[in-house]
Amino acid sequence: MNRHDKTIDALVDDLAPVRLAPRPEALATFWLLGSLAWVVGVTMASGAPRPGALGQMVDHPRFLAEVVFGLMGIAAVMFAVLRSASPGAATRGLAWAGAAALGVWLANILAGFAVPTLDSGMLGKRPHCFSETVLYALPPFVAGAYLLRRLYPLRPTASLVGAGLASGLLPAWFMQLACMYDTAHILLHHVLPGLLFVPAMCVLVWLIGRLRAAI
Amino acid sequence: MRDSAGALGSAGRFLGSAGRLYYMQGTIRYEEDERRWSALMVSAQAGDQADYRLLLGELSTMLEAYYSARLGSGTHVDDCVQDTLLAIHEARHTYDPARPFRPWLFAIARRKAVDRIRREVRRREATLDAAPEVVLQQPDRLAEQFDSGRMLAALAEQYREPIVLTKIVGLSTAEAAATLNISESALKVRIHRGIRRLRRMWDSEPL
Repeated sequence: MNRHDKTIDALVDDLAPVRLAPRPEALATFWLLGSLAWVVGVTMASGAPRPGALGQMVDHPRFLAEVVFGLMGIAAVMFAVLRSASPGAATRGLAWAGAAALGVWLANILAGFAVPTLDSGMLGKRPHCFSETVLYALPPFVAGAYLLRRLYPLRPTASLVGAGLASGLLPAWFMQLACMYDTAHILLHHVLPGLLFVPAMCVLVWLIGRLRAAI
Repeated sequence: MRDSAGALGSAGRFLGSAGRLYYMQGTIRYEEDERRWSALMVSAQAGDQADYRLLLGELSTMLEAYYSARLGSGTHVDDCVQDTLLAIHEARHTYDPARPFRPWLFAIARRKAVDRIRREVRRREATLDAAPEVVLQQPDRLAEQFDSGRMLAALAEQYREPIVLTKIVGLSTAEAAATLNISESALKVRIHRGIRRLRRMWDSEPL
């Protein structure tokens, strides 16, 4: 009996019926809708959104495009993350689409320094939008990490970082409607805390790795 | 003249149809394996131990050949097969019967091999840093085995050598860097790039 036979024996002994994992697309849709409901709900509950924000989307097509690309990018990243946790499911195209959409979103915000999308103003300013962005991103991140655990991420670090990115940017994205519109403010108080989830996830993964190695 | 041309023509036709037959047999076998493995996995998901044993037995043989062809022979192939069998067990709930089996299986197999190489390089670094007196036996023979894998052989020398020296020969990064006459950080970069290239090669392979 060779080494593989012994392993096979052990695995067969350990076999128990399993419930099939839900499709990653279904999980991603569930995550997106749930997280959107949470972010929109909690943001609205903690302060009124910027007056006239919805009207600005109708009046300024560039602002509408900015909002749409941001949401599309976040959704595509999370779909790619969850698909990547299902072995064999193609993810590269989705990941690129997500990165491209987020790139367009951020590029449009940055272009606001030269040609503002909307007139800058303090209307709708929220006093704690930075910390709100971080706090509101936590439940979607925990939910995303839980859904990832239900699948089998082959590249756990990349998956966790992707989930952190999507979760961090979701409240940042909604702050465009809920908080004041000013390019520098958006970048510093909304996008930056959202992006901070990426290095935070890297540190978390590193810590988990160290902890596992120590055990 | 006409006779020899005719003979050549019939030989060509014969070889052509033999090739087609061989190809068709290959395709039929491929599809049969695909269907059988998928059915066995579905049965294993329901808890059927006999089918699961049959599936893992077939897969371990196939995986051994798969890794040997790409990485050469040696204990690292055994390790990769072991890792993959464990991963198949842990990930069995993610196999969707509506999807083909091979992409699911090889996504796991590729990743496990890359993880194993990466982990092995790190482990060797840590072991040799802690105990520099450790000397591995027969490094040349081991390196030769590893070199015989076509995927590693396809890597450019500048990436292959650092991986072989650290993973198989068992040198520390400092020793391997000195052997190759490059800095330690350059060596680490090459190992990292080499592993990335291996992963890309694997990803671009048809299943």
